Amino acid sequence: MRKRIGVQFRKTRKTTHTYERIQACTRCHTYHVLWETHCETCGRAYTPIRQVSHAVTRRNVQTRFLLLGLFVCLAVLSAKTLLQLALAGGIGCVLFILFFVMQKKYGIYERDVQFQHFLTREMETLKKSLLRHLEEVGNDVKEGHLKEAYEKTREIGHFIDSDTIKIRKIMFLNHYVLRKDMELELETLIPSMYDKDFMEYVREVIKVQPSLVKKSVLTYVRRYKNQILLLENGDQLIGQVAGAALRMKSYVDEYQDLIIEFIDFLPRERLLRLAKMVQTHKNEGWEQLYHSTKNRVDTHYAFDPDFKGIL
Amino acid sequence: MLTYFLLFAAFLLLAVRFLKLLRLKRRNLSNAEIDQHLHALLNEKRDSP
Amino acid sequence: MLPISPYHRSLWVRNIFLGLFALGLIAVLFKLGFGYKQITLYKQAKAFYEQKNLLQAEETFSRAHDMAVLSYGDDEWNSTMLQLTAIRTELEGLHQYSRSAISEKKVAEIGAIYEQYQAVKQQYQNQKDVPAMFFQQLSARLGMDKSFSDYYLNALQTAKAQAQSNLEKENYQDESFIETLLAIPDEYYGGKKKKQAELSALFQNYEKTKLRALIASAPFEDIITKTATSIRHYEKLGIETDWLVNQLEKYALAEIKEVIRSKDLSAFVDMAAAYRKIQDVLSSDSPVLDSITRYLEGKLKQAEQYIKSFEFTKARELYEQLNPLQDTAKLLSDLEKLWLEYDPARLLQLRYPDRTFTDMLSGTDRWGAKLYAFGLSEADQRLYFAAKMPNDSILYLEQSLDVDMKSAKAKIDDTLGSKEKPVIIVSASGKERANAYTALSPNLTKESLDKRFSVEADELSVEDSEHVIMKNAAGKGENEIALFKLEDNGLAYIEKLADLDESSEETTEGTRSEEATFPADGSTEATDQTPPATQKIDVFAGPGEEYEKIGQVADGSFQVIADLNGWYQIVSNGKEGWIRATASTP
Repeated sequence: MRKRIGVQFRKTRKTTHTYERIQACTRCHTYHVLWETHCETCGRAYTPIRQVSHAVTRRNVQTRFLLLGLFVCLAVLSAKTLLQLALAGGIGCVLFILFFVMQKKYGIYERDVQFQHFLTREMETLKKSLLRHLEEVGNDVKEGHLKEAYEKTREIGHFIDSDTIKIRKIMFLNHYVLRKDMELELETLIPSMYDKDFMEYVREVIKVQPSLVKKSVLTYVRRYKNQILLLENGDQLIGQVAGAALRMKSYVDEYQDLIIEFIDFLPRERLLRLAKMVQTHKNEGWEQLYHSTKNRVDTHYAFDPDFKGIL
Repeated sequence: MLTYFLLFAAFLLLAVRFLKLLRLKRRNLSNAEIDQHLHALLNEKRDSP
Repeated sequence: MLPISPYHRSLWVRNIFLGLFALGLIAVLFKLGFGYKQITLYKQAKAFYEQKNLLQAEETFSRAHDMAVLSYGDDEWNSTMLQLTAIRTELEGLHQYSRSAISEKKVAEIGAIYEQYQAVKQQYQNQKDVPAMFFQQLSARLGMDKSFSDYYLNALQTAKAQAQSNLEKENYQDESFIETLLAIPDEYYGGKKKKQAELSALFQNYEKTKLRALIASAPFEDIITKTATSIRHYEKLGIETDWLVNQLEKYALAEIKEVIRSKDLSAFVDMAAAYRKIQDVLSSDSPVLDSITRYLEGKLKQAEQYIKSFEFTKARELYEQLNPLQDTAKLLSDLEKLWLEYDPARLLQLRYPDRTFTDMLSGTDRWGAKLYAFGLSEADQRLYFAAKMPNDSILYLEQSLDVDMKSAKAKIDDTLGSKEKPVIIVSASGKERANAYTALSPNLTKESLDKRFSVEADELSVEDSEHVIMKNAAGKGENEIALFKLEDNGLAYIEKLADLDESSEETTEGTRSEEATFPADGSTEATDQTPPATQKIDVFAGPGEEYEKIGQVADGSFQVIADLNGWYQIVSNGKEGWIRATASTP
């Protein structure tokens, strides 16, 4: 195992929707998803993509207004008699007001749809911008700026859901000493296939922040447990994961088989928690788990005072 | 004659616009849907990078 | 990267539309402004109209109408006003034209414009409606009637003065007053009839005075040419010209008769030719032309008479004199033909007028020629030969002769050779013998004059078509009387007939050189006998019994060459005279 380095990662922004992370440079027609606030090439401040889209929509509406006005102007110009002139002017004004009212009332609904269209239209540019970011990551790796590389990859990872990105992130993360205050991620890193490095990372994460182990991690472990068992201390690793699953009753419910199988590798303090849980809910279909736990406690911790009287 | 024709054209423009806005209102897109759409677009082909 | 972002594109599209809209808005503002002004003008025009100030109403209306931003006002009134505008345009156009035409003094144009103006005026006269009122107001303002009347009164005076001054100065170069006077409308003469009468009197007076002045000063040809020019001029202007033609004919008839009477043929010819040139202005039965034709015919008949009496020179002279009147080239060539037939020797004389020929001979129908003539020229030792061929071309041949020309004589021997192609024998005094003989044979098809032989002998006599007998010929046959044969390259000795001294007396009779060559065919001599006295008519020197009586002629023995006031001019035996027309019918 390589020596891990201690490091402090940049904080990542928290957003409700991913698109909020996209910034646009209106001058260069490029997009940015990292933490910079000004365009690297032109120095112009980035604008959130939603604002850009709204500006486009607003202008389209203005263009419609002008078109209508142009028609009315032409109508007035082509008027031959006073009556026609008055009609053209009057009807023109009415149409104008109608348009205005309509826009005020329904214009808001157009913005979101237009935004979606805007995204579709700008997809190529967006992808190009992401690719450029990936190239930057590659350069950083070459120059040894692994921290930067990780941070950038993490941001890109918000948009692209692929094993390559995940595996790279894991690779980068495995270089560092993990701490609880690091905003560690786990769920977002699960590859679609078995990955040894990921399991190494899981091992480290569980030590620091077992709360990150969620359903998807458990499912992954259960699915690839045979491969994991081939690892060094693989059984203990699974035991740790199973221990982490004891945080919530629903997890225990779902992953009973895993817990029963690796009950021997549960740490003492986790087994204690399990015993308490089993005791509380033993009549809710947990009979098998109860027996296994009882058996394990009886065989190994029969004299431990903490366990006394639980089961 | 041309005047009335042009006024009619303006009115038509207004009507088309109104119908379009009405349709958009019916659709009433949420932000989550937009986000989903974005993800779908980003990951539809390019799985490699 | 895409060439243009949606952000920028939307910006551009919006700005373009903004620009267009701004333009449209400006245009709308202009339209509204002009429309307001137009309506104001319409209302103003209506106000003028109600005040009966039609001129200003129309002007204001026209300004409003020209703006053409909106159509406004009731159609009936508008159409009335438009009619007024049309009237104004027409009248102003006429006014413009008339002013420029008057300033440039274009009489015909002014006339045309005046007529147009009168037509328009007629249309609106005696009417009480708005267009008529407008017309009167406008025409008064433009002062058209006055400008026309000023111009025409002035023109009338000027033209009359010009006619007068032309007559006084006897200078008829500029007669533009005629057109001017004609172009002045009837009204200025007090009506159509009065105009015709006045102008007719004026022109007749003018032309008669002019003719009188011309007769007094100018030669015949000038007078008739100038008068004819005047006649043509009047005819072109559509004025009756009979009176002037009559005047001219009267004058010309007197002059022609005078010149016929004075028998000045060249003057007659000149005058007649000049008079015929103005035939176009004369009537077809012009008495002057008739008398010219008659006199000319008489003269031609006279020439024929001359020819009949072989007075070719006189006839030719007459023809040449008459040539300007009638093309006599054909007659002259006929004359020349007849003359040649009468005297073929003229062939040579015509060709070599400065040569003197000795011993000229001429005749017809030999060597394939219609006429022929030849003669000897002592000065250049030559024989000249001329022949008129059947196709009327004339062939000239010549041959130098090495003989003593002073004594040379030429003759045609039709025994030697053939009757049609006889040999010409030139005999002269010889050097070694008494005579030298040279024989020539014209070959007209080859255009050459072949020398057949050249011999010296005491005597030469022709035996038959191929043989000659020579006495004491130089060369072979010396001291002999010998027979020679005519061959292509000369005479060939055949045989001795006798010794010289024996037969010297016999052969002299064979020479016939003195006779036989004078042509006897074309010589019909003019018989100068007086015809038998059947009916004698008195002949006078001029057309009238006051003239001298110069003799008598028998009826039928003369040619009438002209007639004048009951007298015929006749020619009889080449002499001219006059007889009473009743005395004889030609």
